[in-house]
Amino acid sequence: MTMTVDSAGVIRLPALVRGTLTQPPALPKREIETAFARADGERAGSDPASLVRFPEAWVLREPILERDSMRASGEYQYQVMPAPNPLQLIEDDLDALAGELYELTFAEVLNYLDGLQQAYAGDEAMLRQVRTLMRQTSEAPDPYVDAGLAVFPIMLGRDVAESMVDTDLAAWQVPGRRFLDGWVEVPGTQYPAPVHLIHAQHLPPIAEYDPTRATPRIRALPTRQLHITAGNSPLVPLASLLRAIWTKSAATIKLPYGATLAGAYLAQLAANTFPDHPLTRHLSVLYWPGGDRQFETPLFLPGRYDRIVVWGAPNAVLSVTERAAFTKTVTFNPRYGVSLIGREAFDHLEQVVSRAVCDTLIQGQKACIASQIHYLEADQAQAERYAAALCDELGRWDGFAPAALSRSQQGQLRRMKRGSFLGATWFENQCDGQYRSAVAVMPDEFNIMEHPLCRLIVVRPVPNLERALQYLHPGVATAGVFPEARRHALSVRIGARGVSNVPPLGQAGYTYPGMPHDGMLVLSELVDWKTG
Amino acid sequence: MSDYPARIRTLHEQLSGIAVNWALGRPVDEAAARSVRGAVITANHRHYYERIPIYRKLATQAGIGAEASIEQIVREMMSTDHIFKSYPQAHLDNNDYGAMNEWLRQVFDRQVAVPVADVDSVDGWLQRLQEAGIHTVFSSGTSGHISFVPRDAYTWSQLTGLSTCYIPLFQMRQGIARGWERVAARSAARMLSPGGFAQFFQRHGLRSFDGFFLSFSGGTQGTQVVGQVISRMVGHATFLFDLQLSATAVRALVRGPADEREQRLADAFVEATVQRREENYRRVLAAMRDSVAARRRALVFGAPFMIKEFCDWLVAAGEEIALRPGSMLFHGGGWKSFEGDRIDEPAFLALVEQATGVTAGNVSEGYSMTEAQVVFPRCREGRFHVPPITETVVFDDALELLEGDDVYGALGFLDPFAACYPGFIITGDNVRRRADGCPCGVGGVTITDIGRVAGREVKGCGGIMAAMQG
Repeated sequence: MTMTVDSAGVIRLPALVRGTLTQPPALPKREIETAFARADGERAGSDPASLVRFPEAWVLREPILERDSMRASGEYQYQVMPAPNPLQLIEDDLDALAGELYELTFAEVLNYLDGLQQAYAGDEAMLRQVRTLMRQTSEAPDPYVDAGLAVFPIMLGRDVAESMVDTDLAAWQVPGRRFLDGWVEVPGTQYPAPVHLIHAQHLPPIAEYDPTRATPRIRALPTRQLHITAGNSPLVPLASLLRAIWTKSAATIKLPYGATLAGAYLAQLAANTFPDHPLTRHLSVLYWPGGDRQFETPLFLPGRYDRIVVWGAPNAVLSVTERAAFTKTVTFNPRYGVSLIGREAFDHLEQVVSRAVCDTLIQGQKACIASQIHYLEADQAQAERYAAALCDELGRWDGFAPAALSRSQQGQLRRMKRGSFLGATWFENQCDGQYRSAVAVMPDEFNIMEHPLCRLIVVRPVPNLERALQYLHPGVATAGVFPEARRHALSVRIGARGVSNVPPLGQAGYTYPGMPHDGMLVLSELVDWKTG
Repeated sequence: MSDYPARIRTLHEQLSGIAVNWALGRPVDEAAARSVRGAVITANHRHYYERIPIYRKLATQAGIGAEASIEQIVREMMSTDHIFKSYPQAHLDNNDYGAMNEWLRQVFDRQVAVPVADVDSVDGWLQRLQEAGIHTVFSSGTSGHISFVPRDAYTWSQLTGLSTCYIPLFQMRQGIARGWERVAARSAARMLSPGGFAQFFQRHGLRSFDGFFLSFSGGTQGTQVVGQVISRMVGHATFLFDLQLSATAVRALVRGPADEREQRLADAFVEATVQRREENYRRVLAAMRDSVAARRRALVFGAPFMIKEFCDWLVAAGEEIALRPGSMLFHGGGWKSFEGDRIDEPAFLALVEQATGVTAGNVSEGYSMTEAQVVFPRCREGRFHVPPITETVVFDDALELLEGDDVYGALGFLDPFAACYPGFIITGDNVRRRADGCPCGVGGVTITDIGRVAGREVKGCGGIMAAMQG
């Protein structure tokens, strides 16, 4: 069972529900278009509907973009996906999990990943189709789509899994995989509780019992995980899927609007490669509309999952954490990146600008580590010189990787120019009179929530980098710094303000196995640390 | 333009006359009304261009000169409400009110030369402005970044007086007030000039009512100003919070106090409004009982979340009261940060009637914003009516103009009565605007389905109270 595209271009994406691929119903394009026309009519002139519910299916509508201009072509891509009963996702046979999935060895996990990697490499025709379909609608430029798919097999690699698990789950200098594979004796000294001291003071020792001779043991037990992923990158559903697999956990992965194709493909790959493997049989990968109370309420009840992992926009994160108050929730909060650039930059302007733009355009500026604001140690004239150079560099990117501009982004840019950024100096790249990218030198502070994340860099001149520290807080994920001497001098002060990553300028997008994410060793959060 | 003040006043009088006719249900020549609105808007554009630096900057950016068509103004010269908070926060953080004067000048049509050497708080600055005849209304969003909208004496008088010439007549057409009062008001409106009728109504219209204001007795925050204006018309006024809504305290509450003095101010504010809320409720209730005993009708005013909370308290405490027949309730400001507490209209009206005895037919509402002069009253069909004295436009997500008789998008308005500050505003509200004829019988454009544009912070007293309740 695979994803299919009918003669009218309607895509049917299977859902994986606890190891079983479920095919959505076949819906004629005309019927879909009629349903969307009705939905649009009910929206009283607001944006066209992106989702329609059919009796047994969700249908998503994404605008097809002309790739040269990245403007909407007026055509739509329709994706039909099954709408299963949410109760089908629930893993309630804990003994079955404990007896099978949780007792898998990490070596078996590695073999599973090897199999997926090989299957991926041998699935060229399907991958070509997925890439073509993703390119039709992706707001990320084609090079980003291609690079994202190229990263998949690397992330599926056993070396990545080994590094991640051995690092994130390591304790007492014991590699993490041993904690996953079984109980590990740890060389700790056991201290008695007051009750034991009182017992010893008032009662004789318990016969044939010496608690000090017991050896403490620890195990990283898998969990039942619900991952609610965000649509800012197709790599996010993959990262969630891999974290579940690496920890031998039962998982439900919610695919987001905008990244359904890649996620559904991975689910299909797993089901077709290892249909009977415990990791597949306890895996669900599917779409439902985020925030859908009817679907999500049963999932958020206490005891349904051991972990809920939520990525995304402020409202999505808040909504989940409020409704799932009794389940341990790991949140990847909405954050953003910045750059702190010392006045030394003007001695190496070309290099600095190239590095700074790389930090900004991570995942097309949509990643939570992408730099949105460049705090520059400069006066206004120097800031404008830097901004002009940045604008030139962005223009080069516009040439080989033009970015999409949604209507709401277009509107937000206009709002900024006629409101909060009226005092800014704008440097703008256009093509046929249309916005492509820009740099705004902003003399005053502004509300980051206004940033439209559409290849726009805000340059904030500051008299010295220390002055920029006041703008750092836990909402800032990453602060890339130039030059190195300044980074070393400021890194602890930056970190103290809640920033998670302080890389050299240009390296904000780099990653490595075992790298903390949002200040956490995430796998360590996803397993249950047991003592016994 | 030296004859601007005289010319604009003449045009404003014409518009006021149109508003009265509209509210009375007389036929309105829409083409003529549009022509007058257009004349004021183009005159205002020229005035803003010549006198208001931030507007001049926008015009320069857009390549627009002193003379511009309405279409050019709509497409290029409308700004967001951000311009009224476009000052660096450091000015307030550092109590640099000299710099704030300079900033205010950017959005005002005249010099701001008030002495501020000894001013050390936002409240002190606002007071100095007031003494100099610059009436500055503030509004705090959930970010604590306060908007300041300055008005000169004339524009302030329009803010506090214009609505009085048409809203009472509009509400009476909806069935509010006693029959003889409606007849008397309509007769007076026909005989007097709009300004004269407004004065007549302010003196006599509500004098037989006792007013109960679930708001603050002082301070220039938008909704509070409306309550204060109405309070001067009623026979006796009782405020839930008999204190000034302090901009300094509001900022300290939302952004965190900068020093011990602000901390004390914020603490006192919370103590007076949150910790003593029940005491305040009981004081208002006692005044309501006195009013009932004196056989006087009541006018209750407040934001909907405050009214709901007060009514909930009355019901929970078993203290429901039957205000005299003919009592009225007027609310404005919307639910803001209390969206989670919102109840639908029938439930709200039922609660009000249960708690106070005010019947649904005597409940009314107004929609406006800090930057606007004109209030849109709501009819019994639940639609807000745009009087034919102001221009509304609706934008799509890309901020492009939506044409048609039934459109949904971001509301913009070109307020002809904003004579001294830029009054061509793109709001943060999404609305449905219709020109399909309201079943209530009042003509013109109506607005419904009001919600915030994605990413816009909640403004107004709702944001303040939510922050206080944390």
